Amino acid sequence: MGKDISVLFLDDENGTLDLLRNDFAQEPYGILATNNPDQAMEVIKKEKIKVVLCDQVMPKIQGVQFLQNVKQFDANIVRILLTAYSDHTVVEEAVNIGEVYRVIGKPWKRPDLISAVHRSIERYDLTVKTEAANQKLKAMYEVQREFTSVVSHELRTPLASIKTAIDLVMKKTLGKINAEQEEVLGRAKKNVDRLKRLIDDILDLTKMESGKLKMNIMKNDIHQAIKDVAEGQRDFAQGRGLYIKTAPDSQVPFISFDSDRIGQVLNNLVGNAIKFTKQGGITLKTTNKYNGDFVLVSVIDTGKGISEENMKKLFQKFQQVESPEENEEGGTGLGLAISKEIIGLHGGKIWVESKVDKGTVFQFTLPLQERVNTDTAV
Amino acid sequence: MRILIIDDDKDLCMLTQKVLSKNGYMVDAFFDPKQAIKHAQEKKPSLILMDVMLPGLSGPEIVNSLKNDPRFKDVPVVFLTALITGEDRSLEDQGLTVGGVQYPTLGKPYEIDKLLAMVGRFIKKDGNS
Repeated sequence: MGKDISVLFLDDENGTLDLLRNDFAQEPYGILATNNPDQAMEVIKKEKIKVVLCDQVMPKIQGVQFLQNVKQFDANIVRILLTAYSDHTVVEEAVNIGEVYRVIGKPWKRPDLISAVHRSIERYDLTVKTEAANQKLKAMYEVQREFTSVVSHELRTPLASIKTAIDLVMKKTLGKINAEQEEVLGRAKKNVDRLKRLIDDILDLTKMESGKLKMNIMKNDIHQAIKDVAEGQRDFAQGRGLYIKTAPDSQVPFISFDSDRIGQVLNNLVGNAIKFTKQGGITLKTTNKYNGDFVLVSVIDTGKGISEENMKKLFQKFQQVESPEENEEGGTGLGLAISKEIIGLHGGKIWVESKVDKGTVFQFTLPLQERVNTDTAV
Repeated sequence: MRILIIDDDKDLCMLTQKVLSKNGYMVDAFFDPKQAIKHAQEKKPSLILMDVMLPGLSGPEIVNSLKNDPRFKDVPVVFLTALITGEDRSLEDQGLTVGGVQYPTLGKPYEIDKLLAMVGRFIKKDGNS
């Protein structure tokens, strides 16, 4: 009395129903035992039923069929089939069609049944709790994304005036400036540009993390993407006395990817490699059929390498292993976190291998076959 | 050949005007969109450079009202905005779409060289202004 009905039994034998009522009388939750499937379904639709236990052989409806109806109404309700038959087709159907949590043979032992129901309730509560938490998380991501988007606009506006003013003077559009003035303003400019990149990166990352970034995935030539990046970074590399070369595997076919975003990843990896390499250079390599179903892209440098400890932190946000040299563009500390998100959205993986003083290899995979379902829930 | 700038961010509006005038363009700059439209109707510009989020009238609304007037059919419009997020690409890559037409869009903060290249695509400088 006063207990909410959480468990529903459906069985056509009145004797069994009486037994069940008796067996569960002491439990902290309310039960309803009935032989009428229509009434049972009505109760399921009205009350907060967590567990449904159902006999297989009944005159009006088969147990499996009934449980399937329950599943269609609310898949969270935990379903248990009770059966006196050891026929395995019944069990198969119960699992495959009714997607039951348990199949319990008749006659059952009272403690076994009570413990099965107990576990089912726990399972239901957990699922519902997880779903609610998930919903909340999604809503929070959405709030964060909107907030970031507004903040980004509000930051960009004043930054635009600062940047244009500095650039105007630096370009000597307003007249000559002396070397000292140029040096001082140059430092301001460098940091304004860095701030701008940081705002862009945060916005990018927030969009990716909240699943709002739409990829423009289509059949593309990964070797062309690599060539474009190598050409684009050649001056930067050669300016530091470094080579930059490509080693394409001619077996690699056209694969599906977002060429802008993969270009962003490659530029990030190559840019990092150049910054942390003093002599030698960078090699961009591809390997077909890596792990069977992937194309492997490797960015190999002959730099100073990364310690074990730092490698662990690399893909985290705002982790910069080392500050760059004087007069060099500082990173935002978000490049690798963004790269990881981009590769993840393609269904690939990114990782790093490195030996101190020997060099570093950043590698990522892209699937050879396009994934059918790209919908990634939070 | 005059450029019309409409931006309610007064500092940037004046700076953009300076960038363009120092590079040889004739420029009229307005903070208030209504005044800018009035001015445009009296003195037809060769190019309109405008912000997207403006008080009272938005950039796209201005475009819509101007493009209804046959005299403005071929006046090029370039958007300048700190709102860079298009649905999937950035607005800079995608351009802002108004009435089915994509308008070239430059993100704020902009690079002076990019702004000059964009303007140069549409108009030639006056001989000696």
